[in-house]
Amino acid sequence: MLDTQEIWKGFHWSFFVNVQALIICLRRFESSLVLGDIAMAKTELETATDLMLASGASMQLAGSFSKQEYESHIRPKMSPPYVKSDNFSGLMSWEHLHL
Amino acid sequence: MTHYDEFELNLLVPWDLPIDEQLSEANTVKLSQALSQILKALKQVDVSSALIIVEDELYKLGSPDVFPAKISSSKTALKSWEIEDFDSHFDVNHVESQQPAFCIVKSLMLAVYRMFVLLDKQNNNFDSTQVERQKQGYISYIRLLSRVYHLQLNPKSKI
Repeated sequence: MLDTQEIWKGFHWSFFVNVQALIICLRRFESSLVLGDIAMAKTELETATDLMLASGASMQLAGSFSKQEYESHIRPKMSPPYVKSDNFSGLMSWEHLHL
Repeated sequence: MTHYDEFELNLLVPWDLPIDEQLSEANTVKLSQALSQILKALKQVDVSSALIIVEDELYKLGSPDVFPAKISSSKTALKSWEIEDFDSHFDVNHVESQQPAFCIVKSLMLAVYRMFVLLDKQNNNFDSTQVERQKQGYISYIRLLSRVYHLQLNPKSKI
């Protein structure tokens, strides 16, 4: 039996890893341009494309349940007293903001 | 109890993420073998077979030496308590490590493992197109890490 919290958190792990990969990839892209290595820059940009698509996919997969289930099972756990923030959101992801 | 209740995801702090690093020969071999096996898992049609491969590699990799990052400054607009609040909800820790390469590979493997645990559940209705996109993202990340750390992936794992 699938649990909405498992889905929500499980595919967020995918998202965080995707975004860390994007940080590495785009730094390498920038470095390739500085070095004038256009072939490597192309490789890094193609990788970044895959990682962007994967990031979108992980967020869609993380929401693989109804709006009603989100409102009843997911959102309350992202509100006090379960979390400290009154305005808990994905903008609090360190990797995402760093990217 | 799920397979991964014992796990938390340890993520390196963003500024420790490498772009080019030469590992020792022993560590190059170890990580090349581990990531080649994860590529093999990502190509499996049968989810249970993939899970067995990833579980085996997680066991072999062990637990890299990590310690909690001191988030006195996030170098972003975020306050440290906001990062900790967010991380706590998602069972994530931001860490520093004397073995950053192993830490990065372990985080990738745990995320892959958790995906396969979810895909292995009966009656799941995950969008197959999105699942394939996520798998391709992991494959591309493994190839990215092979460039960063100068790894030799098993040619049979090539996609």
